[in-house]
Amino acid sequence: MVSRVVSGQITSFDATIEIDRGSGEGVKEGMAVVTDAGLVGRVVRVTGGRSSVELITAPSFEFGVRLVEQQEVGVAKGQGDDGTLIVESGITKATDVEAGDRVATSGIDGSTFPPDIAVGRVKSIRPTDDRTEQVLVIEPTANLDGLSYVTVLLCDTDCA
Amino acid sequence: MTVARVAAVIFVTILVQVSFVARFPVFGARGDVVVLLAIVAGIEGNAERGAVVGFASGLVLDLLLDSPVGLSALTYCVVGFLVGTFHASVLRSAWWIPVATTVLASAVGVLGFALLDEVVGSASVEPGRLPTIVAVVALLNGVLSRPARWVMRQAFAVPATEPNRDRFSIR
Repeated sequence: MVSRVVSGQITSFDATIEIDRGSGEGVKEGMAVVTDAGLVGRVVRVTGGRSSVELITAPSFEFGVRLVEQQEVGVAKGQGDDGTLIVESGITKATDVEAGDRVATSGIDGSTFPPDIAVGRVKSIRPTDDRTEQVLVIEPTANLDGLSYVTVLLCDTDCA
Repeated sequence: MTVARVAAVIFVTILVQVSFVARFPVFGARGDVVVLLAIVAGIEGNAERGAVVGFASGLVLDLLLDSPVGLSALTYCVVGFLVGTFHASVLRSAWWIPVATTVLASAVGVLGFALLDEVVGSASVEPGRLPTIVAVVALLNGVLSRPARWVMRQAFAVPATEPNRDRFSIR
């Protein structure tokens, strides 16, 4: 369902946007919100005609992601106003990752989002402190600043 | 009438924050002119006025955010009170004192909010981003300090040359 963004982030401590669709249109908490470019966030609060969407860059936001080429699964976490995501666990040292590799939602059991929604591209790679895994910084493919319209996926897990 | 004027200033400031300031992030950080209101209320009025205006404007902002209600209200209330208390103790007058006060108080406001945000478990900003946010908010508010003080003087109906700090009271 296409929705208009009626309010963006208000302060640097605000990681939500508001859209003009609510429970009256079938929107529920937890639903994924996307644009043509990729994942935007999830619905966190619903009223009759409005919903709040937490952006994927919120520091409290964690969800499963998968490297599209390598099929490795990790957990992405928002980095706030920085506008990027970070994957700190799940990508082993042996995985051959390069900057620019595509990242999508993992869709494994218990995931927040349906599988294979584009999330972003790998921006930089560095080893973890114990050098057993790799830390990936992800640049979201959806432009989260200045959103005008978004799409709410009216499904929880099976959106095929 | 004073209360009505101050309420109108709060309303317009929130509109400016939502529809203008928030839309133009600088280095990824957004300005905060709502805390500026508490600061100039403390400068142009006194500690009590700063606290009341800070609490009221923060509460309105809280209603628009998904952070716990009262976080902005408490932070801005304390900032307004501290600025009013500090300003009452300043004996010399110089053009830069209110500007410096605004810059410092804005930084205190951002850091205070971040601290409370962490305490209540929201943690909506990575600590590494705080210096940028502090710098952007403090500099923007420093630039806007003079016009904001003029607006608050009109709201308080206080003559610019001879501040009357006893005329205003919230009833």
